[in-house]
Amino acid sequence: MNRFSRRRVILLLVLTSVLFITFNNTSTGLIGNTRTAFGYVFRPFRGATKVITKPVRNAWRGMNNYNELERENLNLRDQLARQIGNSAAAEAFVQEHNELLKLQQLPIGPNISTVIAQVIGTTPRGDQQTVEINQGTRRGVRVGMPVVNGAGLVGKVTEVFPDGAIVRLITDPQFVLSVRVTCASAIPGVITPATTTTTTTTTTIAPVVTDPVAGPTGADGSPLPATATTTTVYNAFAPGSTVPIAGSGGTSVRCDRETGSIRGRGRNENPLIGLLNDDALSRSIKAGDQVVTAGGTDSLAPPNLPVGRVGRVVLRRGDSPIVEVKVNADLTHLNFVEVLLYLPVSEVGG
Amino acid sequence: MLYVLRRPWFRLGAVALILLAFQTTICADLKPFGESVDLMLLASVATGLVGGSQYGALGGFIFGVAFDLVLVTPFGLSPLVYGIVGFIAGYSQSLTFQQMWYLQSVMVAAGSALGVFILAVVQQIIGPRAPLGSELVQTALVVGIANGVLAPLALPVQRWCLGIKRVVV
Repeated sequence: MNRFSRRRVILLLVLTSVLFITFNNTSTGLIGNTRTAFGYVFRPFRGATKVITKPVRNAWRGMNNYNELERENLNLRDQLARQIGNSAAAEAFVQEHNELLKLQQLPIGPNISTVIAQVIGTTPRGDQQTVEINQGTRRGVRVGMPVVNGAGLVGKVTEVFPDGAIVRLITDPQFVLSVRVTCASAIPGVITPATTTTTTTTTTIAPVVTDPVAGPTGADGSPLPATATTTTVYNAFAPGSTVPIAGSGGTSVRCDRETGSIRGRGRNENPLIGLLNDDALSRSIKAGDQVVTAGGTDSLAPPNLPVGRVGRVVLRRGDSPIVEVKVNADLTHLNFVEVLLYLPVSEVGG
Repeated sequence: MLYVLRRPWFRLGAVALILLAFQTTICADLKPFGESVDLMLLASVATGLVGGSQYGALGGFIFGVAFDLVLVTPFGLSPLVYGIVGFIAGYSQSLTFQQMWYLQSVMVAAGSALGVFILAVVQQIIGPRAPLGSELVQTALVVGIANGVLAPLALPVQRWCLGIKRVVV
């Protein structure tokens, strides 16, 4: 230290920090690899500290959360009683739905394996929103995989170790994912595939032959009468879906939707969706509309995972509206989560 | 070998790893008013107060690097901010004559609160953007008060790191 003047030392430290930040912004992977290597070395120390400090943490929780826990316990018991009733009804619907899908020879569910993990640590500093889970590469978890709980998307894996991983939550300012806004009637909290059921009602009795150029025709080749109607009904999260209007005698309307990217804004702030276009569709988004993952060949999440509901829409003149999302999952009280062992189509192909 | 063990940078590094273990376990769980106590910032300010601006900057840099290794924010952000805070703490220490223990605690509290603000400002430039509002004021208050309370523990540790004996006036 004596060899350097004070100014030189400080200048050197500042420049080194700036150099680190520059490295960070390039895609060399040097910083990521260093962090991962340090994570491997540091985990045993961290684990030991966790064991040593457990009594202190438990005492703190006991002091601070006892009343809250008691209240929460009562609320949860009420909620559980209601859920049992709802679950019985839902099971019947799911069974009926699956039977219908089988009849139509359509796929019943997405073939994505999952790994159940427990949250074992939270964010060490307030400016980042992450949690640590107890499953890692040994169970097939990889960086970028989406993490969900019963309510919907929680975040994505950002760092992975043999027996653990760091999950960046949706609320983290660095979280970005493409999502789609669908109509409010979508079923909340249900992860379903984008399947399609088609119901065709016609007034003609003769068999129908579909000509891709001329459209539906009767058995004799003549066009169907104008009274023939075709209503396509998709399930809740499918693209281009239509939803029946209650009391409208079975007619249906197109479900408004728009695609954009969701970005976290930090703790206590709801994430925002940046929409791609300023058009009629984006302006028709309303509070309560469902937000689901968009999917796609490059997306890190499969399509149609529920994310949340639109909380607030701020319309702007000449620009796409600001859409605030209330996340379905309670990110402050995470315990068990599921890692979807999903890789984007582009990565699987490569 | 013993020579290396007595070097300030080695001791600062060792203390940084121990504090990091506490920061990522106990401090991540014990959140007074929902805010995490920042032990690395505490150590940076304490190093500056006991060792002057030069050691403050060095200590802040080491604690910042250690912290950034476990965070997912841009690498280099914490060393830059904690280094600046350590330097300021050391500089402010050189302006005062008598260092009563409570005065040092107040300085640690003020330095830590300042560190939270500087971190937020630098994040606005480098990203990811942190909220600049009442939430930031709350964070600064909680971190400042908690670090001020912990200062009597941190200052002797940092004196040991730098091989400085306390001068009783």
